[in-house]
Amino acid sequence: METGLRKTFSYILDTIKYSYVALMILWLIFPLILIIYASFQGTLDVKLIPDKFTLDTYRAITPEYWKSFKLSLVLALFSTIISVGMAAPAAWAFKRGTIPGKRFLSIILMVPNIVPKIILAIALLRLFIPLRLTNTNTGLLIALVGAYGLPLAYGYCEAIVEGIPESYEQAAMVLGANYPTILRKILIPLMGPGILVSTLFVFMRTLMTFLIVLFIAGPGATTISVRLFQDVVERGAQFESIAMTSILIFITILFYIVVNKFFGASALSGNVFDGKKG
Amino acid sequence: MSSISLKNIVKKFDEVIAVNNINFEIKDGEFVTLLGPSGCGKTTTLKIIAGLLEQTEGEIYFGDKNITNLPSHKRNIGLVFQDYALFPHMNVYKNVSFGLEMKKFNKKEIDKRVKRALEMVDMEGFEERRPGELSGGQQQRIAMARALAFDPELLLFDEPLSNLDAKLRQNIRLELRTLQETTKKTTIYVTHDQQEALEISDRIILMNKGFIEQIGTPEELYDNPQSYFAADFIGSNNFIKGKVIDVTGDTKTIQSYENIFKVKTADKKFNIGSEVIICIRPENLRLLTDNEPKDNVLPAEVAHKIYVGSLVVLQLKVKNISDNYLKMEINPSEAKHLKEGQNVKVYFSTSNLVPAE
Repeated sequence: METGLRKTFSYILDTIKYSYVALMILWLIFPLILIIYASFQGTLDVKLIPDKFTLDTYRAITPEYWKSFKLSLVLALFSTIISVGMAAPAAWAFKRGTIPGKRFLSIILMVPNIVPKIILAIALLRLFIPLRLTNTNTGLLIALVGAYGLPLAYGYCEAIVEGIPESYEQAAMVLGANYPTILRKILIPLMGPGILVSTLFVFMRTLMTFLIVLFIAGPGATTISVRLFQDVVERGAQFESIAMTSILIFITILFYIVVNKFFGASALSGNVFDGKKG
Repeated sequence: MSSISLKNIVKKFDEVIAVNNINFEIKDGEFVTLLGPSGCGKTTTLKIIAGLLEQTEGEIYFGDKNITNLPSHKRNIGLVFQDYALFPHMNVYKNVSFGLEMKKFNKKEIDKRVKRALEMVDMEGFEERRPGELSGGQQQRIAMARALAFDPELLLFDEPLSNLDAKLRQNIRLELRTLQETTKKTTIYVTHDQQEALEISDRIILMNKGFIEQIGTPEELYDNPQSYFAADFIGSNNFIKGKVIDVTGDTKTIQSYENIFKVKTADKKFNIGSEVIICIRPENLRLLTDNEPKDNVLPAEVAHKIYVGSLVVLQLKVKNISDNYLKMEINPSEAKHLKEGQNVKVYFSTSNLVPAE
């Protein structure tokens, strides 16, 4: 019958659609799955059905690795706090205030978002050498905030502020609220969730960032991403690098789960600015 | 005493003069509308009164108090925004009580006033709802309740009904006016809808390009516009351009092409030689049914006959009057025998004179 044929046809179409998507996803996450598998099997020569399970790879992680990991965490934490701490008030000032040339300034602030990281890295190197900021934690922090964290955070914060109609603040003011009260009762509750999500994003990206650190930092101040790179280049994939990489992958997965659970699926794609929600 | 007066208010945005030397006074308990087309400066003026914008020059008084430099949150004004601006993260109760909290009322008093405010706008029982769950009309009422709850000296409305559909607009418009008459609060209402302004205002301040064109009651503005802009903006009007060729007492004789018109007006500013425009409302054009000699008769051809329910609108083609049609309104019963293409004679006895621009 006509309908029977139609049903079979749409069934086949659906199967093709889902298989296609599944294959795409598999293709994209294949390297990650490979690494995780390898970390629990002790070899890159992974079998699809694992015949042994070991934590030797994780036990092999060296103190230097942990030192780099800690450095990554600390740098990411500080640069995120500084970046978001500066970006949020700046976004509000640029969007609501009467600063001359504010459109120009906010565009300048976001330029590093579009410039390829390698160009930023080289430019920073050029700038830091005479200032003697290369191979220093301070230099790294400045670079991570100025060229990476701040522009990123500002992009999010500006969208968040734009998503809140100015009439909310005006209404509060006419009803008798002074600026501190408006901040406390209107701006923070409405901007809060968006700022939180942005903070998580900025933290994760700063944690994993590679090129800028590669150029600026030296052997003493290597973050985990750079150390992994250097180690693998020198010695190939060893137990410790496989395990550490898996740990980073686990952290990323945790990040996605947290954001999805507490802020919703739309936040995962960067939608931080729905100020109209209750 | 909650009268308010504006003295010589000017507002410049860089080079643009948005509000140009505005002066007016509003009496205690009056309902005054700022009326005008987009960009005329009415919303800017309202925001200056609310303290959300700072005037470039001029002074504002509430009663005897000079509040020119008083910050917005100290002015004790209720403002209903065009987009309502209800706080989305608070429920209706918290929204309406916001102004009362700012004034540091105690919990019992707040409860009482919120309840009363919601009663006034017919929204009891909605305390726990969120603004996102309400319809446009409901949000509008809550916005009103919020503005009224803390008993402000002055109520301001910034085109509060423009986001609602036509039927809802009409209903709420009258409710608003009734509410104002009950609470007797001095009210300033901004709108571009002249019909709305005529319906609900005690007085209308007609604005254009930053200036005040005319101030008056709805009747004064409708029956006696002082400029071409006023005559054109308020209601419908027919315009005949001409020149004054004689003045006898109050009657001015005007010539337009080969037509002679006689218009009665006490206004002294029209003399022989004045270029004028005669303004005739559609409802003041009459069909000549008998042969009694009358002034201001025009031969016309019925170009279109349009039935609008309670009226019939005739579009008349008249020689040498203008490129447009003359618009005439009559009773459907009178229009029964008229056909498109028919030749008729029309006349008018009530009209206005305004200077030609």
